[in-house]
Amino acid sequence: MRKIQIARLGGGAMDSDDSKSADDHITSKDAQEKWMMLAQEECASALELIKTAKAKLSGITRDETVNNFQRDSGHPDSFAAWLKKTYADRTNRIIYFPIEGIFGEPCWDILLDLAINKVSSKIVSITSACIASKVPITTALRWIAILEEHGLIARTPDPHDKRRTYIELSEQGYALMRKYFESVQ
Amino acid sequence: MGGSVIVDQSTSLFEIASQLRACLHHLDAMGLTVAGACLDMAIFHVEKEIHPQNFASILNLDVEIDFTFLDEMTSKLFYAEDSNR
Repeated sequence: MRKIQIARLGGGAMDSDDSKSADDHITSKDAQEKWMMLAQEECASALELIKTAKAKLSGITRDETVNNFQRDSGHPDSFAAWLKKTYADRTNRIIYFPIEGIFGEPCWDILLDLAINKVSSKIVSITSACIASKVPITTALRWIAILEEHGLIARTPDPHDKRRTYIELSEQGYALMRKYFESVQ
Repeated sequence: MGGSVIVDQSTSLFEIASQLRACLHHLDAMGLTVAGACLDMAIFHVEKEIHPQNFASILNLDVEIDFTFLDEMTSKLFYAEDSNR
């Protein structure tokens, strides 16, 4: 039997382990048709959700972002609100200055995002932190390494998935964020 | 799995992110790991409420998912035909 080569976006191919999981779902023509139908429905659902999210995100204001955060996380703490407000302010500058790449302080964006997640008791993957930095992933990874060198963040491997690593603010990093917050109040 | 979603402008971003997570689990369970990875990136944007203009990728995300899907489906069809011979 020929080995399956599933093209990835931008070249490359999945390894045989990835395709094995796909094999399990295709055992007959009926199963294959059912699989394709479900896949199409699932994709259509995802696209509709993303379209709605994009429309909502395009018009969201800083105050809405902060209110959403406080409502969804149930976190009324002023430190948490300040973190979210500061991050939203930085994110929303693009609305008034729609020029790609003119703003950027990826370390600060990463620290803010990690602090927001820490006060919400959420774990953060490296990918998630990279997205928070709003710079290309390779650049974000470089800054993450620098933050780690300075002891501001710590990495933790996912015990269930070797491909995934989580990061969080270290105690020192969190203490410094709080200190800074108090100084600007 | 696979049902159409009902969303409108009144659906909160939190709810949209939750529904997207459910889609992601379904895609992963179906072996569509590449589409799942694309969706994972989209969910982070939604969860962080990042304005779409901050990232060119989110603007093209639907296209990326479509392409990925097409690639995977084509490969599975090819495989099914091949193994039936």
